[in-house]
Amino acid sequence: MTHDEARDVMPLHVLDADDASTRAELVEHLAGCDACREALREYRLAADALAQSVPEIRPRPELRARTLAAIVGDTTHDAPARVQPRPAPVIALPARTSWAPWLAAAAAVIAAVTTFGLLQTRAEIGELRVMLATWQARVAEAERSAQASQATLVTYRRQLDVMTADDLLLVSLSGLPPANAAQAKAFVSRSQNAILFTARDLPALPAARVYQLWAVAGGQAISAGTFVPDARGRTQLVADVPALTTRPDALAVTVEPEGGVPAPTGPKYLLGVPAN
Amino acid sequence: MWEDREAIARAGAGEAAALEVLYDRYSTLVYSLALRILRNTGDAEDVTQEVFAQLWKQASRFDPQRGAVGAWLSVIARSRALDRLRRRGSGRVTAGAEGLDAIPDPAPSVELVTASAEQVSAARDALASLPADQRTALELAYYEGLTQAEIAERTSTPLGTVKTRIRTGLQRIRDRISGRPAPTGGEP
Repeated sequence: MTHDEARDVMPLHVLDADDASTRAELVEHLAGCDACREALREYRLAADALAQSVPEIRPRPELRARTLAAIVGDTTHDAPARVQPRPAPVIALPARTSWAPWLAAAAAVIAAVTTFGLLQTRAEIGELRVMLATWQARVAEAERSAQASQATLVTYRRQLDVMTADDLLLVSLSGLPPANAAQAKAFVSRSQNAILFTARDLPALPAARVYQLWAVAGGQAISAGTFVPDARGRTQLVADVPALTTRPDALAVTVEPEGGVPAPTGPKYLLGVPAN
Repeated sequence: MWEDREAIARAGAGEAAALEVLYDRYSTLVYSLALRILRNTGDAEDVTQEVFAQLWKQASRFDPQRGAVGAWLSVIARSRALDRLRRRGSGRVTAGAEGLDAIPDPAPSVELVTASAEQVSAARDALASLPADQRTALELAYYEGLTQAEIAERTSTPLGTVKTRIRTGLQRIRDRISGRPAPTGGEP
């Protein structure tokens, strides 16, 4: 591989987007070329800047306790020397004795016990902190799990209410270019002010964009919320649409900036009209 | 508080307080990157936990000469998040923390370099000002872990054009970071 060829594949290489054969040639070239190694370093800097340039979002505070408890509780560690808490020293004193000969020894023992006691206490505090963190994490996990179950139940209940509504409308939506392969179905109930929506084969979204679902009624587009499909382009949601008071003439999905917009601005990816 | 180098050394010796320091310093970076890739808070939290578990296990082997801790954690976070994204895409069951040992330290021989705050800001501006096709190609490669061939297929673009878009896009970010004049020319 020449210098020029090496420079050509470097940007792909630092993003792991190169193929295996050129990677091997590049590695071989780099081994004997200081200038190209320096050039590669600059691309790595650019790649690291990409990593750091994502919007900063702090994790939930609960994750800290959960993570630390899970990790520190795990005793498998590659570290060569790990400080283990010492067992409590057992000091046996004679049952009957005169005080005098033991005074000096007692002072030494007290000093020793105090020193060991401190070490012991520190180790115990450390262990207690880990135990506390573990339990806090478990409680948080249980609360989260209970909330999730509750939320799932509410969602199922809502889906059932929509599906059994007297005024249920069925809308099949077809993909529009460039989302030709996309398909979606929606169940709309005005009495429930809700739309149950499922879609598949939606294209991946560009950065900082979301899909937004719209109900078009009386010439007005009413937002039914935004969504991001999974890696296979699928989504399923129940949208509460209080503003949906008249029968919709059509449903549409557009691509919009994150957070959604009050009225559609982006390209239409899905469109459909009620079947009944 | 301890500098990175000392905190890593202490974590390597099993000192939990050092792990707390590193978590407080880098969890936002790790979580934000994982969330950007996975777009799911639960998965991003799991990845964050895995990354710090790997740091804890491997801290004693981390060579400070190799580069900065933040860059190391970014590399691990991206690798683990992409791995999870691929498993999710393939419908395979997601491995939990018990699968930690199965995933090797990504590219241990790679030199790690960390961009400064100014360089990150410059990169963000550069990325935002790229033509949409270059930005998309870079994002598909970096945040979705697609290879050049996969990007070509996904975007229905010839492979040569994909290579040019990634190359030109990353060059522009590199040049903006280093303060070089912008290159001329784009796609063939």
